[in-house]
Amino acid sequence: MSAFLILLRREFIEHRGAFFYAPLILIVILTLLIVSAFVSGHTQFSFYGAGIGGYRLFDAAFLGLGFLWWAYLFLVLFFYFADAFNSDWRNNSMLFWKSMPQSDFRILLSKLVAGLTILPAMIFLAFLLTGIVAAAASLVAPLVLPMLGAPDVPGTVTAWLNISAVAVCYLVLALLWYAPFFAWVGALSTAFGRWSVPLALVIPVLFSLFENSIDFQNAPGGGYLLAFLRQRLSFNFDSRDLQEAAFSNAPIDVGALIGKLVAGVNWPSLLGGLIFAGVVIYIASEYRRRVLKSFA
Amino acid sequence: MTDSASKTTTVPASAAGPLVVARGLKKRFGSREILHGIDFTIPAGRVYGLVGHNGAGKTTTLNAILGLTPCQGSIKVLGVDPFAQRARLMRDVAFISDVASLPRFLVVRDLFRLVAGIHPNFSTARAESLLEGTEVRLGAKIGNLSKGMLAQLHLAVVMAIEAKLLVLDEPTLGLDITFRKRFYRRLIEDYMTPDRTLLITTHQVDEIEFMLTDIMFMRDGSLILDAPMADVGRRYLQLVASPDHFQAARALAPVFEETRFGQTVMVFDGLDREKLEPLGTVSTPTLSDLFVALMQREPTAGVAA
Repeated sequence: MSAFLILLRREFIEHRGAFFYAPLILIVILTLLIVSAFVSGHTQFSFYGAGIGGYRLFDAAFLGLGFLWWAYLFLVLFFYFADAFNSDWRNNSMLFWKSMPQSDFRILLSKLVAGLTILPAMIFLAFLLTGIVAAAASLVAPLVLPMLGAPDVPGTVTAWLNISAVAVCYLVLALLWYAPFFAWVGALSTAFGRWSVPLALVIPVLFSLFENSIDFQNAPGGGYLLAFLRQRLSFNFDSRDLQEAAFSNAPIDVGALIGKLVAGVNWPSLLGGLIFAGVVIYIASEYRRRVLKSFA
Repeated sequence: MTDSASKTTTVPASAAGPLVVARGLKKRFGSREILHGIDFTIPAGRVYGLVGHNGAGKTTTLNAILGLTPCQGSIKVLGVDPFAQRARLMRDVAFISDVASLPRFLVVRDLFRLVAGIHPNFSTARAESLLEGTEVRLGAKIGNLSKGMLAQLHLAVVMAIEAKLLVLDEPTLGLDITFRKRFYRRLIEDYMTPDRTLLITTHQVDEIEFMLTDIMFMRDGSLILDAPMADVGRRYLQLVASPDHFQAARALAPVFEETRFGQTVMVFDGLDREKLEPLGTVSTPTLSDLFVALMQREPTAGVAA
């Protein structure tokens, strides 16, 4: 295994609490809740309009869980970047890592790459497992809720595959889109530790205030900087497309949804963001290379 | 993860020359100069002791050698600039700056796997064999180990690295005497070879005196002594002066004088033993006695060598 993969593995081991054990616990809790609902008979379901198949219920449930997992991932990733880039100092292990033949840039790059690959992959796996739980529930549900019609195993499996395909595409593109923000938090964390959490927001706001103070008349609402950040913070995908797909009677059109996802990405902006991420990580690594905090 | 197949040495071979060469080494923190342009040369196959008070500049000197901090002046370790090429240098240099710096979230087995994966000159088998006979178990979480166990584990890690230079900065700080003795004995018996060099700092200077080939004393960012132990033994003499010879002994300009348990003890630099023997009991000072003596000596230009 290459040294870089070993460094990724190290990040996983260090942060497996948030990215492995916690999702696992959440899945167990969810499963227990569903099982207890069926066992105790505390199930209630109502809908409007024409009849709905079990797998349509699964579509809605799986997509809803997907949004919850995305929110969880975004939150823990933010705190991962605010924590991991400083953890070697905080854990007093900086000198140990510096005794290894790995550059500071390589170490920080491994943290960035881990935060954008294996750690989200863990949450994605949790999402897939949740989907299996939801699929099982939607197959059992018609037995206690006859209005759902007969269980539809092929339809549910197809729906699981379709939604998973759309979700992985969304995840990859969204992570690449938001990579510069995570890198920004990580770079700040290298120098300021957990203060990076407020500083990640305060610094752009201060720059924006400065911009407004010198160019208030001509700037768009809030100033050029805030306008740019607003545009850059919104991943260009209309979630109503997913909602419509989930609640329509037709099966989800994976190709169309992925096509919309890809077409909606501003690729030059995404590429610029990745370059920005690389630059801030390099600057952070130079800081880490030069500053031994315990002696500063 | 291979143990022996991928042993590599990428730093240019400079086996014939010195391992470390520093010239005019200076370090400044803000307006305060910590190192005042020191010069030293460390050849291969030696055991160097670097001794000084807290704040004398020992750790800063070690950090300069290890490429952990940028400095003014010139320093080459194994022929390369350590700050510019630290990652490359660490293939051939191992160090312990703080035994408590091992990553606490890992278990011992994972630590070995991890180091084997990122260090081409690390041998897992050797590390495991070095742990045999200790209380450190492969399945133990590092965060749960006692300080003594941490020291044993960290020593096993660095001793399992095929390094040309091993740097230890206060490696036994906070350990009891049993651990300290075991630590140093293991280092000498299981690690030192004629082509390896060891550089060590400690306040318990008497405990490492037996293993040193060379000694460096630092005071206020300057080297006040850099000499082989054999030369130190020849050059410095300690006299417990007879009461009726105090004035005669003082006339020979001792570098240090103090009263211990009612006896007057003087340390002389570069004086013939024959001149002192009529004045009392003459012996070679221990390193700690010599350290105390030289620390209180008036500063003079240059390094005593």
